[in-house]
Amino acid sequence: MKFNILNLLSITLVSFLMSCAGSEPTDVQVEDPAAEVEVEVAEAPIDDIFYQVPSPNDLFNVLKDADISYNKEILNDLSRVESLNSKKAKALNFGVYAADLAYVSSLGQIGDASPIFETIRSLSKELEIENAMNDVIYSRIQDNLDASNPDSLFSLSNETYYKAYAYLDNNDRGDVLGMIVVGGWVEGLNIILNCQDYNDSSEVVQRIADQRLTLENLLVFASRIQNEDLDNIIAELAPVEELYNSLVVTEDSDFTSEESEDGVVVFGGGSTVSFSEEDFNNLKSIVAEIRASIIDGTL
Amino acid sequence: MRNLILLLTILISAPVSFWAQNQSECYNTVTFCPIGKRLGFTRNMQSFSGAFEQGDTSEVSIVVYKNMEYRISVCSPSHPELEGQLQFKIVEYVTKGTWVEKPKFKEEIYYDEDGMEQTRKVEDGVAKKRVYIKEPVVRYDNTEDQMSQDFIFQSNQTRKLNVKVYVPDDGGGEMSSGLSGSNYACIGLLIEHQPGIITGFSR
Repeated sequence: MKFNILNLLSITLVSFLMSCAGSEPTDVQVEDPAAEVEVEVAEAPIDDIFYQVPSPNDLFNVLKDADISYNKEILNDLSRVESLNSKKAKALNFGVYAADLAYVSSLGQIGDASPIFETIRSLSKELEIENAMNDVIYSRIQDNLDASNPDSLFSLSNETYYKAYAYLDNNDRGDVLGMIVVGGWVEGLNIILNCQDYNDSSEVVQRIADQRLTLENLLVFASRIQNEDLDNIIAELAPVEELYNSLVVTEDSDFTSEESEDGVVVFGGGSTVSFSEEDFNNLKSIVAEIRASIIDGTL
Repeated sequence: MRNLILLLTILISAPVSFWAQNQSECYNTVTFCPIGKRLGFTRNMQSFSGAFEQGDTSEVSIVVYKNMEYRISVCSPSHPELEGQLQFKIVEYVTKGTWVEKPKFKEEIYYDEDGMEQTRKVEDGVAKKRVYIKEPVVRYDNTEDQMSQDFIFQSNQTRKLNVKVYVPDDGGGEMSSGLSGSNYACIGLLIEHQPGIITGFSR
């Protein structure tokens, strides 16, 4: 028995050291003019870098300047919250409703924000994170709802998400945090996929293609949280990752860094990603399926 | 044997628990960082609070969206003596292609001393192989900007950027990677955003 325990500890130690050493090179799809030549991709190892994921509010900033009409039908039905039984389903749907709140407030739909906000408040109690969002925040949100102030509401919906995130992070509840972030990411992507039809010059479509970058961070962020439920949820995102990995990335022009008149540095140049109508429709279908399993509590 | 097991257990768990404890103590450090003087910035959820080792570099990966204006700043309320000394770089990992030449081999038939047919591998020219490597390229370095503790920028493309923060130790030092020493400081990496001006040059 002692030998076995020692072996186990040795294996654990070796595994720990190996995990610290970095990861294997990964495949990246890069356009290569010499297609007949064998291509191998090496990447910097994923070591002790902290991976952060933008919130749904960041995602929906693009809607403010786009000619997008508000579509209430793409929001999750609030009555579904009653049928959510497990902690996993509640956490995922907390993220879903947080993304819905961000969408609604980004387009200034104050009237629809209030019931979504109440649903989030109810879920936060069931997930025991109501301490993260104290009465001051609730009161400020209610004041902005009453005053019909969409810009402040958008900012406060961001704050709500941030508070929940920070609270869970600090209280070693990474599993719930990971599920909320995944739920919010899927719902955010589903919303902008349903905002408008494909148009290759649309900023919204470009933002959808850009989600390949946030997905990379999301997957590393979530995969570091030790939780079997979260592992299973992440596995469901594999078709999304596969689609994004199949996109062709082209280095368009050299990087530039110039200062504007008021002192803001503007980064220019870099790579663009090719995102066709077929890619758009395939992604829309894949995400709709994942989102359906989240909102009915079966994922 | 029991002592050996105990020692191994401590060796495995101690650095992790010490690090975790430090991380917890630094909870919400960014809320104490000075916010942008320019009106309109909102705190971004990619902001980061953590226990950063003095004399070492920590790295945070973020995504910045096209045509959004970002303000990145660093602060250490727990170590005011570090104010103005925190170094940070914004780095982008760029995929670069390079050709690598490897020898090609083919099978050749030959006859051994007994006249039996045999095969062997012989070199048959050189194969070119395209290898892509992601290399870090520095986009901003505050040591070349009078140690400014904040930086405002926007990008014409959505980019994944890594912010490398170096916390000097008492003896000063260069930006490096890897773990050494045991002094930690609570550092806030505050990221704020607001909608940018699309043209970028005529505000």
